[in-house]
Amino acid sequence: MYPDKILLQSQKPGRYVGNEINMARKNPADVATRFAFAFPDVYEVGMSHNGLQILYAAFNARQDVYCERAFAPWPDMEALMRENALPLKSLETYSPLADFDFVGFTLQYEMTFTNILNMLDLANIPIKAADRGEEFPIICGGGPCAANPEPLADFFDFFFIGEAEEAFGQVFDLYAAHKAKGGAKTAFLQELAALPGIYVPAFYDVKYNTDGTISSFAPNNPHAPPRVQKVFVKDMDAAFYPDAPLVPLIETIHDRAVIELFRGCIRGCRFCQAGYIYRPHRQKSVDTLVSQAQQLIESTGHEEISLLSLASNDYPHLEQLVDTLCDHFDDGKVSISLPSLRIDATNSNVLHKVQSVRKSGLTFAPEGGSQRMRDVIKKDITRDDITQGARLAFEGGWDRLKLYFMVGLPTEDEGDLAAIGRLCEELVEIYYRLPKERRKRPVSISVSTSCFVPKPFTPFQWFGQHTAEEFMHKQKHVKQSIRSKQINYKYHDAETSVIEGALARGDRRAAAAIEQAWRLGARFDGWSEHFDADIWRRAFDTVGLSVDFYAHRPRPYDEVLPWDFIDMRINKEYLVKESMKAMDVIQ
Amino acid sequence: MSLKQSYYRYRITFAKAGMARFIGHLDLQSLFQKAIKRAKLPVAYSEGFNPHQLLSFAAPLPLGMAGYAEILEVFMAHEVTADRLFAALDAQLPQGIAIVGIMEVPSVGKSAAAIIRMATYSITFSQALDLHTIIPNVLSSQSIEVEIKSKKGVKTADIRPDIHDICIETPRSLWAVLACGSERNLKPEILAQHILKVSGIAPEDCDISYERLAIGQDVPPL
Ligand code: SF4
Repeated sequence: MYPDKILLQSQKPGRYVGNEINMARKNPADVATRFAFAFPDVYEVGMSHNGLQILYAAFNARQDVYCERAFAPWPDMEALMRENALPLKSLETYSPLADFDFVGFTLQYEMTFTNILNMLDLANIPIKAADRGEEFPIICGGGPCAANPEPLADFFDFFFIGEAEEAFGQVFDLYAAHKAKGGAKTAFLQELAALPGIYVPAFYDVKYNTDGTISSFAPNNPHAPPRVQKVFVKDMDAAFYPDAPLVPLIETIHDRAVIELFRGCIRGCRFCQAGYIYRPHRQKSVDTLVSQAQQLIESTGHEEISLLSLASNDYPHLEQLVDTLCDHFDDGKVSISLPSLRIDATNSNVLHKVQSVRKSGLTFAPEGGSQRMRDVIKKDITRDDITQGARLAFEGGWDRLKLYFMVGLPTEDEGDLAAIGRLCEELVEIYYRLPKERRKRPVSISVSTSCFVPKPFTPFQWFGQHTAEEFMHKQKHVKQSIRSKQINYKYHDAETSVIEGALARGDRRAAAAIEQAWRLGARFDGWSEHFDADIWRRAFDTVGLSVDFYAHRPRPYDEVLPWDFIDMRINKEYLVKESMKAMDVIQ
Repeated sequence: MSLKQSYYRYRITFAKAGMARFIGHLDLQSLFQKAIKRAKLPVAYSEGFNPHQLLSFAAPLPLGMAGYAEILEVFMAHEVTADRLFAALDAQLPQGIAIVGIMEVPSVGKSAAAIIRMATYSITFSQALDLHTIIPNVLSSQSIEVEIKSKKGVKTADIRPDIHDICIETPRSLWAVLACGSERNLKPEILAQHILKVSGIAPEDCDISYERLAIGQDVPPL
């Protein structure tokens, strides 16, 4: 443990001590492989992430592996650690990260990239793969941002492409055999590179055209395949799921047990990376879910169970599942939450049984304000769906609605923005059409707009993202379209979204900008109180790169994209066709 | 009260030390709720829209401080033997928290928080002090005016009435019985800083560590 004196000077010492319920306890000397699961955000965020729970338990289910955890220290703690020359340590055994065989980062969000470098540095591990000799751990990563790992290529030894659950077994087998032989890191990485779902960036060379675009991307090592295929879990019912997840001892973002209804999404909204990269759609049976839910409640003591998926409306047995769960936990002391439920006529029964809805109100994510806009992005929700859903909700006694939209979508014009306000005003009117005695208090509609960030493996991957000025202009437009005092408008920071956009579609050279931003002090860039746009602008300038090139520049369909070498099992021609169809909608 | 009369009330004494010192008060509550749930104990719930377990602590322990005889009260819907309660609950507590005693108490009557009057703290200084001169002086004073910093500013207060007793253990450690509870409360830090001040030592030159050895009541529970 860090010394008391240090811990007590930090804002929340509980972040740095571990000791949670269901924490894995092993003797590091007894295992072949020590793996540090590194989450590049603060403890409370990382501990609320279901992927961490799954992989932590799956890794530790192997006797020959001990998986421990590390999170990004909050800036107050970082300062204390640097002042006192304390290295970043794991929460389980308080071992310095440099002592592990692997340090594995989860890549959930581009704006955590500087935290990755910071964590390596705090662990006294050189940030660049090329500078790490045999004595240093192997650094790996996986998660949604590994869909385009190129901006991180210089820092990592390998990436998991697709779902790491499906690939880690072979990695650990190989490593144990390799360690027993006493083989060198490069030899291990060569064998690794041949596995499906593994990408070793050092084994590929990138060449560029004079205009900065990629001219070729090819393996420089005979073991590395020209294209890396993503791997994914095939049978969700048979897939490993933790039966005793970690229960934090301090408050985290979510304090609840989680079951996963399905992976992937049947919708294919054109802006949505998750909808594409998590294909195919795979679901669990009601039986599996009910027994997992019961097991989790018993092993954690949580009083809430959350039904996780990209869109719970699309789970075909939702009502049956919710009913069965309600029966199982019939003492009423376990509540059910459905974070991604959208109200419609088919599920108003379910709604009343769901606690989270009672507490926080109902949400809609039409994403686009006008029908035209929603057709462009293929968001399968109509004005009638929303107004009827709202009417049902109001009649059911709810008077709080949340609506999510995006600004900066392809082909968007002022009419589409004005439609956001109009739609919300309409909902207010619907509420006031209720008989007076049924309106307990004024309705409250919160509207929030995010800034559209084009992502790899979507039909909009070629689209030039808006500049921060354009975003702000559009936000102002939305604001002007709202008149009712019952509507509360919030919007995301435009500059953050632009940097996110530049990193999301960056190539290998973007690593220099990330490193420079980190050196200039960028940390926790996803947190508005820490994000500093000026640092990032200076970072890009200093290393001679342009945000415009990565974020705002529209790409021709035939350009070699940095992530083209990944076989995401989505046909590029299909994406081109979808992209053209989207643009056709304007006619 | 009629509701609680049909319940069974247990006063659980527990220790919280080591790594568990960094669990704050609210988090401790949620930790015990989950432990009780995992232990499958027949805990009683409040009525209403958001029922919660009937569970309360006698006196919050400051973050970072170890406590060796802290008190928690919990109501059960059915009677449970103290043995079973001990075995089931202790097994569910994280390292650093342990049950050290259980007593069934009448289900009506003041809450544990309402009867706590004093607490005993062990205070250890990183250097030896002339405690054999200072402490008798403290105890024989009629009043001790100190400056207390709070969010609202600095005020002077007489802390002497809140010092019940002090015993010297070694030249750098002592234990003190101080007022604790909702009516009167004296933080051990305030006494320790006063001792440093009369010793002529600057606060930054001496580290001080604290433990809460026990909390106590001065009236019977009924
Ligand atoms: S936005 Fe939602 S519904 Fe659409 S593809 Fe993505 S996850 Fe599915």
